[in-house]
Amino acid sequence: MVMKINRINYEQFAIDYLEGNLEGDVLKDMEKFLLENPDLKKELDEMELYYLEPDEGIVFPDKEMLKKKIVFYEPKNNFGAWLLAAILVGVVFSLFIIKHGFENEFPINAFHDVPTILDEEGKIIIENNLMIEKSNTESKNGEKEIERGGNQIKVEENNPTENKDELNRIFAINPDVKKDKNNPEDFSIEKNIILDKDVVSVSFGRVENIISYDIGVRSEIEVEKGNGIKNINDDLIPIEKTLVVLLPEIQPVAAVLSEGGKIGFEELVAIDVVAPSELARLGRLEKWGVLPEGAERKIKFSNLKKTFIPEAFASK
Amino acid sequence: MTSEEYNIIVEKHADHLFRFALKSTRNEADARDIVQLSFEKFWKKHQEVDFSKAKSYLFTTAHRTHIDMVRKNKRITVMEELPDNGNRISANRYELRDFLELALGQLSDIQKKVVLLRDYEGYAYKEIATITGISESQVKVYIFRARKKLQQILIRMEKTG
Repeated sequence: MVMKINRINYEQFAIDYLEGNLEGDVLKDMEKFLLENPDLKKELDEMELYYLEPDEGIVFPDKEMLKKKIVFYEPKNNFGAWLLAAILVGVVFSLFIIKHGFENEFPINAFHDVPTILDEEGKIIIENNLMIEKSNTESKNGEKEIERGGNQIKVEENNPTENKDELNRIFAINPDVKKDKNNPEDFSIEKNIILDKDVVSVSFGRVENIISYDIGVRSEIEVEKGNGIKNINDDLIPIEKTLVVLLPEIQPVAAVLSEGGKIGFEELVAIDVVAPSELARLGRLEKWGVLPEGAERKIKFSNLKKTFIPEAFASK
Repeated sequence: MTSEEYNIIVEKHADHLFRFALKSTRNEADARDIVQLSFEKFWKKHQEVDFSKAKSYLFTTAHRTHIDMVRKNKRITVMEELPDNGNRISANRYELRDFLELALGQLSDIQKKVVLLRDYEGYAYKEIATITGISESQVKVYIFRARKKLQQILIRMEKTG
């Protein structure tokens, strides 16, 4: 239904009329209305339309300040975020191990050293994720059936201690520094080292903000399916214990320790270190922010000979 | 939207947004603040905003930011005074474009904005309605009145000049 044009509402049709955009019944109604209202017809007939032209000489002076630094990798989904965690975390831990060795005290605040190291390497603001790949050491090589996706599949388990020399050869401590040709400030290091029975995978890159630190233990297993054998190195061992530690730079919020709160390094399967702001953003603060009742605020890394209390919890 | 795409948006639209803000506020510091705040808000939402909708999002944000700024500061919008007879505009010094710029200052905030969005950015009336949060019919009325007023001001300038 076409709105009847009158002296009250004619203005909403006037600009389209002047610009020649009215057509059909609306145009006819407008012409009829103007014939009945000669004063308004005169007004429109005499009206000249002036259009402004943008002054291209006016530019925003601080444009560069608005821009964001391009990170070498941006997760676009959960998988990407996880992948980022898997790729990035390791540097803190392994650099620490390289620097301090396993026999030394291993306080959480030793992670303090990492940003300095990174700065020396290339003014890196770290976003590190540490992933510990732990080969299954609970049994000798053998087969067992496990359920995956509703199917029973045959899994061959390897005990890496039997191939320690070979693994050490493969994962020799030999950092491979890769620089980004397009952006010399960006680089990544990928490094794998053998720590007794654990394989530590390390990599890091220059990114803008600290987001998270993750340490996860992964099972190195071979899955036999049909006639072919497929290696699955990324299968995560079911998380048995989780420790959430925030580095001093991003202020610890909580430690979640199961089974009394003591974690031996050999038993350690996962550490997530997440910035409080990031936790809040992800809506995970509630999930991660509570220390279980009865949990001891001591963390023992059995391989390290010493027991320590992280600064963050010492005062509690 | 990635950081890279965000930076493209900055490169592409920051100047346009600044011109819009500057002409709307007639105050460079305020215009800078509006651009800065608009992009800050945009960055917070950059993962949700579609690349193709970025420009509209920015102009909508700039418009709202300006409104908030005016409310917060309880500013009274003062129409710019046209030069009086003692300071007459000389046709030799000013081109039509300059007259129009001066005349623009005589429009109300909303008239100014709809005309700027239409003329500077080439937005359709419907898009302007979305950005400014008013109906398309209202946009057309404001633009008609603004054009009428611009013409009247120009005629007046011509007479006094």
